[in-house]
Amino acid sequence: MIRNLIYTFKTAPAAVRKSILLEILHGVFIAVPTGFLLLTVQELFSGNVHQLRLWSYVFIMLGLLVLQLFVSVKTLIASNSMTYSISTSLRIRLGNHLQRLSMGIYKQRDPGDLASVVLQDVANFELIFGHTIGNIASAVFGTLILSVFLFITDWRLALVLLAALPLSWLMVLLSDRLIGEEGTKHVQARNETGARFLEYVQGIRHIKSFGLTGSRFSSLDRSLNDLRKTSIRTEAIPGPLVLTAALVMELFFLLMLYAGAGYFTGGTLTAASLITFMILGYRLYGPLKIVLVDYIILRYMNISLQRVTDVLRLPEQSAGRGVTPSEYDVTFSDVHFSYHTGKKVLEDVSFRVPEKSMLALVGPSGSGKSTIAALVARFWDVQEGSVKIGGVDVRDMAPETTYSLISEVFQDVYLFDDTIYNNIRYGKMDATEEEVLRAAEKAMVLDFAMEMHDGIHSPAGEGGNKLSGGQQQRISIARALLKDAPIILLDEATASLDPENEVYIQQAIQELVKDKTVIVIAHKLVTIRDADAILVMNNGQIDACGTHEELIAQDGLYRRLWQIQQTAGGWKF
Amino acid sequence: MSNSKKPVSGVGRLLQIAGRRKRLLILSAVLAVLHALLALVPYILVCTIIRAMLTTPVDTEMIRSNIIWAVIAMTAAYALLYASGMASHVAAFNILYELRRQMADKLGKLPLGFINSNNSGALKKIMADDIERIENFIAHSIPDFIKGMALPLITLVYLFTVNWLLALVSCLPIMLLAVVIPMMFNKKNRTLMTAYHRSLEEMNAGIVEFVRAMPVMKIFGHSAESFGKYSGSVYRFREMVMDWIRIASPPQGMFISFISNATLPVLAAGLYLYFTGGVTPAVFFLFLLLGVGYIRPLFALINIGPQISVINHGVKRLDDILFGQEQETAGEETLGDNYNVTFDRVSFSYDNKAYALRNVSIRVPQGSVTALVGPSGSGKSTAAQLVARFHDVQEGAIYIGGKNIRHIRPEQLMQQVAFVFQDSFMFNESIYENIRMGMNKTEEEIVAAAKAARCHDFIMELPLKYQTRWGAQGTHLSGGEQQRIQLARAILKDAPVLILDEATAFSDPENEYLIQQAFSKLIGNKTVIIIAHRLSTITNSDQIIVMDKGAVSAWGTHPELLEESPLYSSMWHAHIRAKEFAL
Repeated sequence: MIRNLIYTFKTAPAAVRKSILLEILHGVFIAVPTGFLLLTVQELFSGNVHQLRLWSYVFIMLGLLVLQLFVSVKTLIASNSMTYSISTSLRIRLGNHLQRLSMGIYKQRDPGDLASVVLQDVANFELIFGHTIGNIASAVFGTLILSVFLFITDWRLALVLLAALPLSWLMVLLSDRLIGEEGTKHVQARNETGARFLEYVQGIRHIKSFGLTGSRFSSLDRSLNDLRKTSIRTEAIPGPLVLTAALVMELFFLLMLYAGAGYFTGGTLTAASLITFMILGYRLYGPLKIVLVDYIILRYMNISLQRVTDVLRLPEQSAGRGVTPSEYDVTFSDVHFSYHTGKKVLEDVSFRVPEKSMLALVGPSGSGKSTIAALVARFWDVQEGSVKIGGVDVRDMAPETTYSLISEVFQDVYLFDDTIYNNIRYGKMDATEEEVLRAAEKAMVLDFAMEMHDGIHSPAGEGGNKLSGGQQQRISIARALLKDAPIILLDEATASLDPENEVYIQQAIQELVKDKTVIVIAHKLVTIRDADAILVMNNGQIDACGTHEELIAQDGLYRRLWQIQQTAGGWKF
Repeated sequence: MSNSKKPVSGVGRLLQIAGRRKRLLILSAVLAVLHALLALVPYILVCTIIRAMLTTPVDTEMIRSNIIWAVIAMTAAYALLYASGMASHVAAFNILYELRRQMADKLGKLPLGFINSNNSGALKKIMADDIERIENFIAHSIPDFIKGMALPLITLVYLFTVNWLLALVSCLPIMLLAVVIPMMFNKKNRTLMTAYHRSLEEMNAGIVEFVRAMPVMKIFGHSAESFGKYSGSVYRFREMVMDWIRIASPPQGMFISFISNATLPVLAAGLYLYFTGGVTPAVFFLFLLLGVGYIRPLFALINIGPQISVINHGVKRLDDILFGQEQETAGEETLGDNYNVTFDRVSFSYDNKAYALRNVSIRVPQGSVTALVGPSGSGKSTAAQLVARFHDVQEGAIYIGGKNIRHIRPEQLMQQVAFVFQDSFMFNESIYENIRMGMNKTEEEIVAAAKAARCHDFIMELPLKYQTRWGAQGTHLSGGEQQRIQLARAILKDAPVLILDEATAFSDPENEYLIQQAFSKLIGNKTVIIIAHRLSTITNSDQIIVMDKGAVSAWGTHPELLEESPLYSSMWHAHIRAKEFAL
């Protein structure tokens, strides 16, 4: 836990330093009234009472109270400012880091889970840390200061009181282990619930159409129920130990009284000292009891912090030597690739796409076409062989460099919950309005946007849900046009998402691919019959390569596919 | 409760929610008060010891037996505290569970438009965070409040019987705080609270979107910092919180300072009385001791005020959902004896501004296939979705088998309609469960459906075949494959009304052909509505309805429409031209 805390402290060192100093000062202010109280009690019991001195104590305490008001406020602001400086910098770090991870991570880990690290786990830190830090600081300093007083007054009774601490601590350590287990389950259950709920909301149409709403959507209901059970367990299991730890303190206070009464009647303890202990005993334990609970909560928070640091430790894609290519041909040399299961998705694939030429990828679904496109964009790194752009291995480039060279037009468009205009502008953030509008016009976005209420400034909805598939697609083409990257990765099926405007989308795509290095995933073979080269993929391997005329002349997979497509006739009833 | 009026707000509403587990909470409160009473024992003990010490000879035997009783009392007090805490937590977590279920349930009953107009990250915040905060109220605020009130009150009554003047002085700090803090707090607090929630939701939305859009983020080179919705909302959230803290800190600091100096008034007044002979030393010490101790539970109260206002804002958001207008089902009708689908002068608008459908009348007889075609935005998808009652029509009515669908129970309606959407959605469960979708079907039926939808082969290549969990390592299905899973669901469901919205748009031509064949066999006596972009795939339909700008522009068979509908024939020619498209 300490390691994780230090890690987080390092994200905002100035705020941490300031906060710690103020907490120490504040701790002194909290302890001082008790000191004066003791002096008063001892004086009253000593038989030698100085009225004036006692009244001066009262006035000094009053003066200190006024000072403490200022210090308290400053301390609270500083400790909160520290908490939120840390959480803000964690969120920004997490965000930047997530963006530099390979896409493979997003296939391995539920994106909803990653989002909840940034949201819920950091929020856990915020809420718990900000709340507990003050308590812990004042308990630590308070205990130190009071212990000194106590030892000066009577070391025997002081030892009795302090003997409770190791015992209580033992209980805490025991509960610690339990909390580690239960807490992990609880955090998991919480995040699981969040992910299932997002799934429920985002897939609600599908769920509705199978009548699975509410508790009939069993995976959400199950996770909610799990959360309920683990929540109760997380409270129930460590509870007895924590309370026993507090009880130990209560009992040691009574034990101290017992011993004190004995010493008093035995004559080895003055009445003033015994009363001092009676008053201080509770003052000593009070903050510590609060800290017992806080410590448990901190341990719980640590589970969240652990998840945060785990994500931050995931390896980023290497920036290699940071080379930037000056030419834009694409070469695969002996590429082998598999996702995480070991099943080869690409086996020994080699080809070259000369600059400003078009390569078409054809083959049955699952033959590796999309994977090839994903490897060019370096969503993953190859296991063997290399992918090169302009003769430079993509692993030798900073990932941003690779991405800056590529535009993608794929089926799964992602639109932001923003206006159509801004969605296009994501292609090039520093584009002028004129450039954006020109791209919108070329991609036929203006045609439908102008009929909307706010024109091109109409909202696209979350994930583009206010627009049709074809409309979303045209926005994504506009984005790519605006970006004007030298390499285009294209899924040909995107062209046929919208029948009436198919022709226009096709024109937009033709505009986009002009004078570019193009790799196109083709479904309708007729579309790519003019491609400079056609790569026929089958089961992750290259089946054949050539122009349409060459391939059709061979008796192979390509000719078979071509023939099926010539006859496929639509719905037959 | 669906149509009941939105009830009380604020603390009243929270108590109403807590009332769902009234008995447990009362039990918890009673236990908490008992705990508070027993927790007083050591103080009383201290008093008796002080008295004993001031009288001679000292009765050590009495002190000893008192201490033993105190040990028993404290042990019991802690057992009671645990029991009280458990009772309130069990109540709280059960209530949270119910609220979450209720919210999910309600989201399922609200019209789809509601979810579409709310960001899913913001909804998640309500489900995860806002509801979670209610736990704080039920399990902590209520018992803390009772403990915080009970112990001081009991002590105060006791103290008044001992010395009313010192008793009065000892509660001075509390009275002062009770007056000053609300004054300092309430002014800007409410607006800040609203801003806080909005800012938090905005940040949630920004983060969820950032993660979901990661491929786009990467390809367009946006980092968290340059994606304003992420970094901007994160920074704004901090600013927001700091503003709030600057306002909340003075009263809080005042509280801490006053509480840590709570003995001061008693000390001053006590000294005065002591010197003027108005109080005995024993009583003075009792007050010095208790005058501090009994105030401590009030520490817990310090946060209740602000906490409740945070909770309340969350509850308001939750209530907006829980009391939202759901789709009504007027009367319960049994199903008709056929499955003809009829639109009778249907008008519909998503936003009450522009019509998406205007005065549409369509008849789709059972056992026939009707294709809806038209330019994008012509209303064909909307019309299809209305059959499944994803939205309610504003004018006119839709009938299945002669029964108005608004009169059919939603679950029953959903059993009659199978829907294949343009965009597929996979759930984080096994492929098997993704096909089964909660339906009561055997494994053979599921495999058969998968085979018919051309899924079986690629499923068998997954690491755990049908048991492979979607979203787990290595599960990778293309868009076309995901869509085929969706088709398998629909085949498995085998509902009498089948709606295919671009069901094969993402399939490669070979699979499209095979799927269409498989489906053609299934159609049999069903009522089928197909939306298709590629007109050549639906030329065989019994009926083609041409939609334009929300209205029916023409209907007939393919040859008829080619002759009669200029729109259809222009679409057809565009389609033929598009088919010739070459890169």
